[in-house]
Amino acid sequence: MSKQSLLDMLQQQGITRRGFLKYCSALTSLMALPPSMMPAVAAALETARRPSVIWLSFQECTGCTESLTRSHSPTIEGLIFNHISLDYHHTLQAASGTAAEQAREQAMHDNKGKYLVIVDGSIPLDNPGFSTIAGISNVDMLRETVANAHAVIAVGTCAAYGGLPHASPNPTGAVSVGELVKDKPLINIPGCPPVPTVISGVLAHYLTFGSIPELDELGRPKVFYGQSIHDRCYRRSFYDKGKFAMSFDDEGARKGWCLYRLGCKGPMTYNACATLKWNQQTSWPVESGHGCLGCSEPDFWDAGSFYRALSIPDGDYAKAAGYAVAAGVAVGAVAGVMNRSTKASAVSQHSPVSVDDFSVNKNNNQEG
Amino acid sequence: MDISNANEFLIWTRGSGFNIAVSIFIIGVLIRILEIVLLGRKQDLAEPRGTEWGPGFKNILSRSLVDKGTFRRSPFVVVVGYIWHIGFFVCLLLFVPHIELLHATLGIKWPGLPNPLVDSAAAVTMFAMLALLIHRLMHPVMKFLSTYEDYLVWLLTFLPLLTGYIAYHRMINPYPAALGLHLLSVELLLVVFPFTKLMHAFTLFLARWYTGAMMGRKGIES
Amino acid sequence: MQHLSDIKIAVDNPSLETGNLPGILSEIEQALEELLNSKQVHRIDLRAMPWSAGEEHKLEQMLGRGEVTIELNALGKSIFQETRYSGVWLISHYNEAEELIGKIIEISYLPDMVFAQQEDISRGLERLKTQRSQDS
Repeated sequence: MSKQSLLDMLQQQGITRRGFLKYCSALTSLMALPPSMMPAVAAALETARRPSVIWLSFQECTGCTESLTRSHSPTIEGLIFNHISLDYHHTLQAASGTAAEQAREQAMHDNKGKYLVIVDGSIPLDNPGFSTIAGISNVDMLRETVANAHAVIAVGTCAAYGGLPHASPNPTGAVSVGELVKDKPLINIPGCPPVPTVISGVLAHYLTFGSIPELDELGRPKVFYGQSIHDRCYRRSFYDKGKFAMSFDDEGARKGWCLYRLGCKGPMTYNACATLKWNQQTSWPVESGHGCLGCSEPDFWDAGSFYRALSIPDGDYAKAAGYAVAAGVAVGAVAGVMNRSTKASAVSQHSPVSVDDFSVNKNNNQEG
Repeated sequence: MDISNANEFLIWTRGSGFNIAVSIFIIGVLIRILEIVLLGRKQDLAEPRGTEWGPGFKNILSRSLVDKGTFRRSPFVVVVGYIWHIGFFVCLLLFVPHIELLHATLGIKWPGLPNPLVDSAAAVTMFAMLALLIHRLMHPVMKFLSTYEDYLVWLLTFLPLLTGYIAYHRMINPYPAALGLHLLSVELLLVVFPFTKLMHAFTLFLARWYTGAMMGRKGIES
Repeated sequence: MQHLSDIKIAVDNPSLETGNLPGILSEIEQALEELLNSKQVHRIDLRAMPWSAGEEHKLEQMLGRGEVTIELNALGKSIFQETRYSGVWLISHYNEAEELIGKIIEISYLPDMVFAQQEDISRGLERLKTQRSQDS
């Protein structure tokens, strides 16, 4: 951890107080805090120190790193070089092999108990050899690195919930970071990939306030994952009015109607896409005419077709129904035959009733 | 509920849970109907005085309308009974997500209603059902005649409405848990359906048709 | 083509609305009353709410341009635009790569950031003193 405060560094770079305030204003917005929090952000940043960050990449596709490097506001350069000391990231760092691993060990040693660990990718448990870095299995590297960390951030659905590697039948026995790390503060930033500004917003919160933001039950920051896509969707009114696109190029699609019937998973997905949007706030999936895939939810890959409405069952119900009809007809026929024989035997046991059979009752009645 | 399993719960109710419930429902309904139909009737050797089919269908219709005598005796049960039955079918058949489900499973579709209309229908239906339950509990004769099955059937019919209302208004978080509960309540209804008096939804057609057909054969107006 | 913002996107369906526009306008109205009555400054982060394509533009058109435009150059450009309604400022912050990094509506007499800052004044004064001592 650098001894210099962030403010000292900015001042050395000749940045004025106005520039600092502007930076704080942008950061406040990035952290999804109300603008009235800006003075608090400025006060916190005046004393904030640059934390050492170790970034571990396990079973992943580098999409999350790609996403972060496209986070524009404030720029990734600003974030990485001004705000954090990124001591290990085997995709971004220049060093490789032994030198890279030494950098990690050095950072862990120098910043014991204070460094931040960011993980993208899931961890295979079936056979540790499925994924290794410098001959060290993912699970060993995670345990070793996290042991003296201050906090852990799981970036992307793979790290947060297992993601694609965890999808049925989970050939590598992939698990999330949360299943292995129980004794450290953990923030999940799911998404495939997460919204870039959400990654940098959570990082900004951590280094501004030195604490983790308020989380929901799935370990996600509430400011970004507190509401569903459906609740914040600008097409929501069409859902309520019952106006739906029925195909991707019909009139409804062109008029921007609701994509529920085309399989949009917005109602069950909690993320900030509708507000923060993607690519410098240019657009987001629903605005581009495609339903939400639900990529920030656990097991999204196993939740059935992306193009089936949420209300449609996902199993092979036609087959099940076919077997049920056959079984129902068979059992029904047997029951019918048994009932017929019961009836026949009842009929055969009938004996005619004559007037004499009632005479006892008659006498009784007369006496009574 | 363990929220981290809400998605797994929803995946189960949308997959295996639905398959199991639909299978039991189909097997049960077929057994119950075949049992009745295969039992047959003794051949009627008397000369028929009229046709069977026409009067049979006419009877299905006419007996679905309000009977004046019944209405005069218990107008509350008749009116509220109609309200909740109609409301229930509006929710079941005219809510767009349900139409999507029926289209995917049965291959037929029709236009739906705007959600706020279905929403109010659901509220009215639930109020009507609650009113009928209270009436059942307050009315000494009805209370005497009611068995546990009546209350079970009421509950299993009420729960899909309640959970659907909760899911639509997102009153339980996260949403996958709310939707999963709704699907589970419907699956419970499907499983219990063939083995309770809920079967009336099918047998009423058989019974009314048979009565009408017999009257038709005997030359009586159905 | 350097930036995404250079790609002009034609929105052919600006009739789609989130319903946030009337809400913002009523918030501004309330904030103006508070500014008059108790000098209370109010800020609205436009990035904190969902907008449909073209809707933000519509808001800017409704607010219009007032008498004052201030350009600030610190860590990239910032524009403080007084709107048609005096006391309502539309603030756009850009970074050095000219990418928009913040958009805020501020209801105040003059946005705080425009005032000369204590630290900057004292540092400027020092520079001036050093300069003069070197010259003499």
